[in-house]
Amino acid sequence: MHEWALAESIIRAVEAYAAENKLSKVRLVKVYLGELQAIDAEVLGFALQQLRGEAAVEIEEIKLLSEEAVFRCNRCGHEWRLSDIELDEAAREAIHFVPEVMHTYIKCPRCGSTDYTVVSGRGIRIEIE
Amino acid sequence: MVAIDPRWVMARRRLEGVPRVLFVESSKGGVGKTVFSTLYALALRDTGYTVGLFDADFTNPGVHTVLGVEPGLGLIREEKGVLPVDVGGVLFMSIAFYTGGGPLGLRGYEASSALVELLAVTRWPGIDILVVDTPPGISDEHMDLHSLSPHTRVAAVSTPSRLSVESLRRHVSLLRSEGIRVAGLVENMSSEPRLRGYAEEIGADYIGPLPHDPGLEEAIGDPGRLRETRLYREIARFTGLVERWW
Repeated sequence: MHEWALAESIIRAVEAYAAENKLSKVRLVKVYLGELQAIDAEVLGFALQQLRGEAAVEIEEIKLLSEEAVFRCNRCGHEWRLSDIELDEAAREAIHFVPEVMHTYIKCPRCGSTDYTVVSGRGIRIEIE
Repeated sequence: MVAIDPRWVMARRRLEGVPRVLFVESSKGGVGKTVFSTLYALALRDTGYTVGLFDADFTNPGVHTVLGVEPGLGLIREEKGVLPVDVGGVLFMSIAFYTGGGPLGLRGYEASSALVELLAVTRWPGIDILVVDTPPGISDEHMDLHSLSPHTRVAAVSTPSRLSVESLRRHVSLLRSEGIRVAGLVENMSSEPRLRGYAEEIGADYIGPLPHDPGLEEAIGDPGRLRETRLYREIARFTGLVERWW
């Protein structure tokens, strides 16, 4: 499943960070889940717990946090949220794999442009403490 | 607290696991990168290699059209990541699966982000070589791609037209200044070997002259018929070069 690959990315990134900084453990990994990518938090969480046990670094705690998706149009400056628009299932699934394909399926609700920026909530990002 | 984008680590790991990564490039558009990439991938497959083919042109993908793949999510399989689609024996991945072939306008940073997202989740199980069709020019995607694999080689493509050759020289010069090896120089849509001397000058293997093949258009969209074209036969003469490039 796709969430498994994302979980693997997170664990490998933490391992790489720990190796670079000669750490045998990290205290906390915060995983921000952008609303746009619609990651299944339960599946991702399960995969993270599985992979964490085999990781080359001890990770004391993993926190999953959600981030609302907000867009701003580069043409007219309008800001909107994902919840403000309708999106069919096929488009949601495509965006789940590669969020940038949103430009194929989502237009600015005010001016119709596909030239906009995701202000927040695009996909996965992590913070390590 | 340190913020990290985990996709880069994973994309690099996945490409590090591929022993040969060949980027097909040119600064000029319309010189035949997509057709060359596709036919070369098919020819390598027919020689016995397990071949991956990645369309890195996210705003204007074309490999799926050459191969005759209907773009859409229907062919995508998930198994601890995303698996490329077997088309004519070649393992193929493209953004077109996700756009359904619709238009996709991306700013540079978004093209980079989409590229690394797809490479982070795409698994290339057991391939011997990954052929990457790139968009024209040298932009964010090229710089990202070159940095992701330690096994990077480039096949630079040009027609014999002066406009194309000037563009080729700039492109090659830039690649060499970045320490990227131009392993092959493809002279496309040509009847005589005008670029052989230049290939020797830069230490690249000359691939050409590849003719303009009037039969190609009819074969577009059908891997079986592509393999019957004159252009395929000409390109297939050069598959042995990959053993010298790595």
